[in-house]
Amino acid sequence: MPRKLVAALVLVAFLVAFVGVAANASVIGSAVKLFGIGFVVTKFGGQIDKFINTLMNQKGVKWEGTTKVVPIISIGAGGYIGAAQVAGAPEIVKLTKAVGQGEANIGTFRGKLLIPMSTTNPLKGVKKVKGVGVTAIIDFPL
Amino acid sequence: MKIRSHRIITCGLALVAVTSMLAVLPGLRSNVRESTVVFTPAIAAEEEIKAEARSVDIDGAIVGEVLVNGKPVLRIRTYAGGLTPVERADVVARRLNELATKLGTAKIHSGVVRSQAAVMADDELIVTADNAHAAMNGTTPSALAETWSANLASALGRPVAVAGEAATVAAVDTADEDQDKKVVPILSIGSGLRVGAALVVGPSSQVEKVKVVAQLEANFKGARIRGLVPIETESLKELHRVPETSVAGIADIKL
Repeated sequence: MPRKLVAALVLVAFLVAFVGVAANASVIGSAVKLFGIGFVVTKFGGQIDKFINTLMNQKGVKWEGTTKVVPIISIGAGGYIGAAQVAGAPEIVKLTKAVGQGEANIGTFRGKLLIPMSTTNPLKGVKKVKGVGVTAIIDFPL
Repeated sequence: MKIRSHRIITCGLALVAVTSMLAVLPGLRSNVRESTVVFTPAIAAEEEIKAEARSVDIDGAIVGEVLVNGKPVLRIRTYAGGLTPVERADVVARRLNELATKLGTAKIHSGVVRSQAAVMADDELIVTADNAHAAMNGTTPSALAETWSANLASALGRPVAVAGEAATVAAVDTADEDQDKKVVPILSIGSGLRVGAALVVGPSSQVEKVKVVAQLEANFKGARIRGLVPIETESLKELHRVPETSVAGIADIKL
């Protein structure tokens, strides 16, 4: 088969696959499996943020300041385990790079603490960002 | 034309490969958890620090024991590098004496040196906790390094602070002294059921108004979204959000 024809077929197959995935309702799920959570948050974070705010507005909920979607990173292991929407004053939200998640026992509370951080590497130290709160959690199918 | 289409394919595949690599790299962070034991210097630098090694018979086996200021810190039980356990303990004791001046102010901690758990004074290696010793103690190399670090700190008269995940989380959490906290149920807007508990933070006057956290669930292109809204009533018909409050933690338990 001529090389030119083979090349064209490969290109068409690639485009069809890509379009197929994009059209799929679980496009984010597929993207997570292919490229990881970090990529997905970078690529789709804006869309997710807008979707959440629309959802909240429909229920009459508005947050002070601005919002942003960042990855959730395990404080103990340093791995990306999900994403979170954070809200607060614009200049502080801008500093927020991730939300650190760690197991904690605080008084009667035994669960997962969510700490907005200015770093994506909690293994080198958790740099908490004050004045920012978690407003939504995003779980990705793995 | 042949060359052009060949180049297009090559460039396209290369672009996909690079994009994939760049995207996957962040998710490939080491999952090795480094728990470090950190100590604050609490003795004056001019106080004398004396380390020595001695031979100890434990269940018929000759073990090299390292003492600092008369207190046992660690025991060497195996041969290595042509040295007996006692000779190895002597090497560690000499190293500690060489670092005596530094030990007065150095941060004693457990770390990793050349992929081995180790006891360190700042960035100076004191001794490694190898797999053999960890197995003999029924523990892991990192845990053994933490234990030896704690022993050394105790011998030097310093307080012990474990900076593992939980301690780090708790220490970071207590940093906000001007905020109050409260644990409230999470109610799902879809089902009205209690699906967990949330730790809510904010100014005291606002946090006390929070009764529950309403959970809005939705799906966006395969991602499961849970919006968390601290509200002042248990009614989910209208969400009266409490301003200046937000969720700082969640627990998947039913109250």
